[in-house]
Amino acid sequence: MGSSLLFEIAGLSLTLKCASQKVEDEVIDRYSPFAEYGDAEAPVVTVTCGDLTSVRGDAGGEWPLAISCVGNRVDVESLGVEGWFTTDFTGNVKYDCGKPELLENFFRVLYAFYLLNNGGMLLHAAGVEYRGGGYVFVGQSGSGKSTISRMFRDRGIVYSDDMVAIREEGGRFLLFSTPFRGEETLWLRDRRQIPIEKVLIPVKSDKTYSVVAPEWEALAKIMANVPFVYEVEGAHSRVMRIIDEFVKKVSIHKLYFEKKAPVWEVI
Amino acid sequence: MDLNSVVKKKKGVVFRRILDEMVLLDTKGGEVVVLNDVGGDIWEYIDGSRSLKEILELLQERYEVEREVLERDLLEFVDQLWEAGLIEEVT
Repeated sequence: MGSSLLFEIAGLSLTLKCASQKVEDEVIDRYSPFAEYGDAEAPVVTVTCGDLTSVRGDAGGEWPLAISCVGNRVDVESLGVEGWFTTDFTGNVKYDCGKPELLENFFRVLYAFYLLNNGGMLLHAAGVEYRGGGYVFVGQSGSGKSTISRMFRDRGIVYSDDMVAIREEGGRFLLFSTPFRGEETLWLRDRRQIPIEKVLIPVKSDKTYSVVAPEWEALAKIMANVPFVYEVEGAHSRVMRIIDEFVKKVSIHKLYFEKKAPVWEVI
Repeated sequence: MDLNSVVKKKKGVVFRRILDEMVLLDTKGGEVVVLNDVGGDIWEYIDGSRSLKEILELLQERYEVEREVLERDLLEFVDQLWEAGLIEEVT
């Protein structure tokens, strides 16, 4: 094992122990400053050498994964890269270099549960900081998250164009940047957090305006965009408790937008 | 399916009532279904032990609608839930 890496998202830390220097370098290169050399009192995840011959290609650019749970252990498998973690977030993943998306699938799943255990959630959404407030654009692939994120590149700070972390602290929900991104160019290499001002549900339109989302639609949208954690049935009630609080405390709007219009003027 | 049938919610369907709507999420397929108030009541009454006849009686206590109409709507609705993979029949 090489030296220890400290991996941190939304204030939640892991100690990563990689079996090879090559993997360590790849993790630092991809995740710095979310991953740095260092030590802390944090759950230990080991990255041991995987057998690359078992990796089954890239499924045409998709990175599917399977999640299962037995007892207090969650197993994650993504195209032959296998890992597991327990309810205290210690774990192991078998990985060698060259397919970082597969290793990332493991981290995404682990952090989805880590956040859930700490009053938060990973959300399939873009997040930006604009004029001192956090704005979350929630939706599936193709809903306009990356388009909107690009609009804010020169006007604000893009936290992620694909997956953000959210946690409740002191009675309000905070938006955190993550290293989980869609487009490479939109990735923020900085750990940041900001109170959430508004959540917006993008809807492509020929006009640009926003309206308060009906409560059922706000709830449905958030429920449908919390990834991974529903795979473990025992987690359902915790997920729903956090979603209930979230839709109660955060203002959720529908954002009708035209591709080239100044979205920032109507949020 | 008929009035003697007993159905239960499928595992993996999470749901929440909000005002008059019931939001269901099929966590396996990611589909979201929104039910109106009557649909939400039926969803709540489906518990894996009540027959559809018993559910019909509960609905009759709650809504002033002719029994025939209510029965037809209930059976149609339950069929839709079944086709959407949200419920299964208890054998």
